[in-house]
Amino acid sequence: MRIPKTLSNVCLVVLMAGALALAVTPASAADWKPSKPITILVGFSVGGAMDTAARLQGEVMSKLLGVPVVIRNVPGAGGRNSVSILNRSKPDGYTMAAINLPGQAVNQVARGMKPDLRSFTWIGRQVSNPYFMQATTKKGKDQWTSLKQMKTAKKPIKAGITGTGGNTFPISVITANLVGFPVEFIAGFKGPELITGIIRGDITITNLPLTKRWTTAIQSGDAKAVVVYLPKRHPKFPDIPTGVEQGFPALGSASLVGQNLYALPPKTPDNIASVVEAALVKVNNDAALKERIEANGNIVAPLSKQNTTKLISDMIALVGDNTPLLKKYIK
Amino acid sequence: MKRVNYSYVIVNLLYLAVVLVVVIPSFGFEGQGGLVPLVLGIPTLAFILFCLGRELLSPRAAPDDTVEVAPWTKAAPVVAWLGVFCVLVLLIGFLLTIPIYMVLFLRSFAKLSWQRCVVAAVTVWALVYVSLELVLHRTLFEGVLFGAILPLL
Amino acid sequence: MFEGFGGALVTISEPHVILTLCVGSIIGLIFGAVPGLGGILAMSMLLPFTFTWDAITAVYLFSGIMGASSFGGSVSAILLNTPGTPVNAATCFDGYPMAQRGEAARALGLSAGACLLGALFGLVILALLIQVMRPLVIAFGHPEIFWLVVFGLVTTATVSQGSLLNGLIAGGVGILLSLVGLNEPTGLIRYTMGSEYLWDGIPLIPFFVGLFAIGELINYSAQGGTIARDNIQASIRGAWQGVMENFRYVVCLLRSSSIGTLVGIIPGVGGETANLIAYTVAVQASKDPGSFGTGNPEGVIASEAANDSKDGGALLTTLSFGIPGSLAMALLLSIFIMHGVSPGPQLILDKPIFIWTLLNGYVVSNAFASIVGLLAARYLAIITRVPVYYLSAIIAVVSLSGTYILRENIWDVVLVVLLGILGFGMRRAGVPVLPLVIGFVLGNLAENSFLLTVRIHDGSYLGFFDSVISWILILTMVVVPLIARLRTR
Repeated sequence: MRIPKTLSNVCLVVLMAGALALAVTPASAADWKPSKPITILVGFSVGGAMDTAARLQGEVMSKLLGVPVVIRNVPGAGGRNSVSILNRSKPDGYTMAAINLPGQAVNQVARGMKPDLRSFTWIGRQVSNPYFMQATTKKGKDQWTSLKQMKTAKKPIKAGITGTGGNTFPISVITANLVGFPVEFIAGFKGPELITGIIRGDITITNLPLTKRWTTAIQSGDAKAVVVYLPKRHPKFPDIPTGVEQGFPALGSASLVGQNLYALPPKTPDNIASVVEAALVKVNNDAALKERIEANGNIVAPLSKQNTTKLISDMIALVGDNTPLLKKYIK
Repeated sequence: MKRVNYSYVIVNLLYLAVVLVVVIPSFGFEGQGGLVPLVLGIPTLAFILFCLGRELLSPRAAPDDTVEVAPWTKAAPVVAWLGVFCVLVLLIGFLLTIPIYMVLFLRSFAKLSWQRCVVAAVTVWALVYVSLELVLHRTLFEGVLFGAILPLL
Repeated sequence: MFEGFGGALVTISEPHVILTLCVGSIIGLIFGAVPGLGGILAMSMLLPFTFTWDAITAVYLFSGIMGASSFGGSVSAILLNTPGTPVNAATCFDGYPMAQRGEAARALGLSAGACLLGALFGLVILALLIQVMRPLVIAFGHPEIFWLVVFGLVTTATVSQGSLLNGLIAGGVGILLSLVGLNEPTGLIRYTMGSEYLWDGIPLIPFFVGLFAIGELINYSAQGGTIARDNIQASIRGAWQGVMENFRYVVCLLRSSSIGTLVGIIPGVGGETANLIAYTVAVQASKDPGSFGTGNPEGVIASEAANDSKDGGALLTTLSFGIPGSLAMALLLSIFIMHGVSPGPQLILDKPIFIWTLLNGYVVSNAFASIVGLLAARYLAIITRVPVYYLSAIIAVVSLSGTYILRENIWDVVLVVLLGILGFGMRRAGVPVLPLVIGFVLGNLAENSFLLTVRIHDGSYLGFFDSVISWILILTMVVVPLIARLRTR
């Protein structure tokens, strides 16, 4: 029986595709299969946003990899403990960490702390937390509604921040610098106190992660959202204009979005990193999980190994450009 | 009987150390970083020096309530045991230290038979292991000899 | 607002809800009683399991844990001088001496009653205050918080047993210890002597476990015998008597619950302050302040009533403003959001059933924990008659591994032992522990609110005196000790 030509062609194509797939799939990816629990280091206490996301993702990742995924909270020093422990962990794939940026870049660049974040084996993104600025609407206080208007301020605008650890500090300082308005940062507020501070008019602006939890003063009319630091408007908060729309394209940079990124210890072999990366991509594409995490306002978007590594370099460069400014507040 | 209460002197010397660690660098801080520490630290320092001087120069009768507290001579072995626990945990981790500590402590303090010591040690060990490691999925410190990493000090 | 109340009551009578609440309460009791663990750890561990549940059932589970954990913490505070969670610290001061007298069951009954009544009080006050919550929350800015905290600190000096000077020194040292680490308002890293471990300051839970649990452990292990020195037969009647005694000290109960509710409502003032402030005020208001610290029932009532009433206030601030006052509240908030319930002023109008569910669940779990505690008091009290060597070995192991688990930092274990030696030394020296603890808990908060007030008012000190609440607090601070002095004369 003569095989029709088209069919034989199809067979050929299928065979070739199969061969190609075998060749392209890193043979090594199949090499490594975890055989004991994997630990995710979280540099913050139980119950925080990073911890919650890690626990949710760990649950799904555990099913994918066939081993338990244990969350290890090592709070302290503004998330730095996880960086330090990861740096000294074995590059065997059984320890990874969620790291907050650009906060940790400040420790490296402005505080001169080791290790160099670029030495880690970055595997992808946990979540990104876009930040936004809200301004008080309290009567008798300065009312800021747009960035251009803020540039006309005669005296420094009082901006509340929690402190010099974490992401809020570099994002607040760098965005103020990029826009170019006079500002006085008042540090020492506990997170929730920033909202009461805005409602009372003790501070006139503050930058916080754009989640439902931090927008309650806007719902009640005690504050107005001025800008979100994203290239495009946030789908869940479409009323908040971006900096790009207000004529400040630099405010759309990905380096100004708070990022929790996953890393493995320095010099982790490629075959191990690829397996973890592949699992992470699947985790990030899990629709139910995505919905749970995003209910809060965080954004779940997979980021490849290469792009994560590039993002780290960009963030370190941006923080580096602003080091003299940041050092004004770090003693 | 009037004699120097050495515990009182030692605790106040410890306090003195804390106050000095705070007060001395506070003079060098710019801005208001040293304000509250100095406003509180200097009077506290004065009070401590006064109390120490008073105790050493003209000791008062020991307060009654110390009678209920064990003397240092009896407390020292307990403190030493706790020290041993710390050192063992640092070296070989919780899961090995717990049974070793339990058996040795119960044997030397409670004078239990070896069998009873072992039963008690195994029970407590199992309780800690099952609840913390198996149920809560927390990893107890494994000891530097077994490759555990010490956090920054 | 009240329309949700009926609906919430209907859901609470469903069998699966009752079961969830019971399970939550038992978990809360256990996690609360073991030093280091605490309700927050339990909640975060269970978080991933509740995603597939409906929001109301999940809320019942977590309110069960939250409601029962503070009573759980008081059990270990009373029996072993070990606050199970930092919010039970003040319970040790009189609860433990009661246990030493052989009245453990009575003290547990006192605590069980105070917890439940405090929670109920908090709930009633909230129902009444809900409409005026907003101005109340906003009225407390940094100057007001500063005065509230100074109020707590000043009372310390007057409540310390024995020498006033020793009390002042301990309070001062406590405050100075709390200042160690990164000071956010100034950006300075202070008094760490180059240690990165101390960057965040001396951690609270190791501080408590060391000073109380290990300090006392050294003492009773050295003495031998049992914790209860007088062998009074513990009975369920003893525990019940403790519950009823709450009504004898109803003024103390109401006053402490009010303090708890207020502290709960104010964001930024941690839960661990409520019990200490209520305790010091109870001492000041008492005709016999000298009896505190030796097993005065009012001490237990003040601490526990304040503890359980504060959560109601904190819940409402969390839900209606999205401003969580504590880590537990922040966790609860993220649970709510994950189940599709957004906090904010609209919540009270749109979904009152959620608020009532939470509050009802909280009270029911408190009641459940109290009943369990009451029934178990007789057996729990046996702990005080177990030879101390067994207790000592077990407590050392459990509290040190529990402390480690919380931050997974091995230096915490070393710190606990060092602070334990200090705690024992203080007992031996006859130096009061209470002022040191209060100074440590409130000191940092006082400095922070001081510096922020000055910064917010452009360097001027007038900001401390520009509100009615500030003046009320200042006047109370002056008048209360005067009255106390006049009464004791």
